[in-house]
Amino acid sequence: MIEKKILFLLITLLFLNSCTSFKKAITGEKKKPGSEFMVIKKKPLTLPPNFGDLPEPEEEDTSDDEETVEVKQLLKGIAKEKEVTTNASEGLENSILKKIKKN
Amino acid sequence: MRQFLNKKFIFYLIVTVIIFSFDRISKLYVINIAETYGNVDIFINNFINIILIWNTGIGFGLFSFEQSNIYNFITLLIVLINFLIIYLIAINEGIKNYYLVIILGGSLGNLFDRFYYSAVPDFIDLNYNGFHWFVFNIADIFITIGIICLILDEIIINKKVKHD
Repeated sequence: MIEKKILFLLITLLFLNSCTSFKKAITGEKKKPGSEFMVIKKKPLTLPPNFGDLPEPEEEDTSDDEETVEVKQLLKGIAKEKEVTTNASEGLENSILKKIKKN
Repeated sequence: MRQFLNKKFIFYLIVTVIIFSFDRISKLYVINIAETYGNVDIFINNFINIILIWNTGIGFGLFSFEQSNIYNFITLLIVLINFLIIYLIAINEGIKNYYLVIILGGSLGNLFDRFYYSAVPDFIDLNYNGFHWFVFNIADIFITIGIICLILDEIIINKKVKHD
């Protein structure tokens, strides 16, 4: 009976006491790498909801400014003039070539 | 029971509070040094040094794991043991109660640290010729004295019964 009581008291001593080995103080404990910067848990990577959809062709923008319209008209005019001059030069060449062929 | 609550209860309570306070003051003193200077390594003489270690387990550094489940389970066991000691103080009479009160005072000191710091600070390092005993605190001294007195009391009572 006394052995049981002493055993019980020794177990109580073991639990209530908190002494630590000196080795722990010298060597230090291995600590897990800190995660102090991990404030929010990383979410798994997912595709955006409209990832598979192809983009629809956009309508032409008709609302041009006055300046751009003027510039476009000027460019068209220049282009026409160039066409006229090229046509005229082509006609002259052709007539010369015809004359050469006749001779 | 009423007498217990009136006189003895007050006396036991005062003894418990004194031991608890003594333990707390010593721990706070060492923790303040650690907070001020970064670490505690005080040489007193060739036999005693002051060095701060945190113990998350039980006596002799056992069950010092980082898992909170084991820590909580051990803390729950210690709480139950404290309740058992209080019960034994209430039902017993005589010199045994003084030993139990000494144990209770020390045990509550360590239990407070378990709840407040999630570890118990140990700082008294006894050593002789390079051999270091386990680092302990004031509460451990009272608990050990109380348990040794109870064991001796049991042995003496057992011897007396055998003689009779």
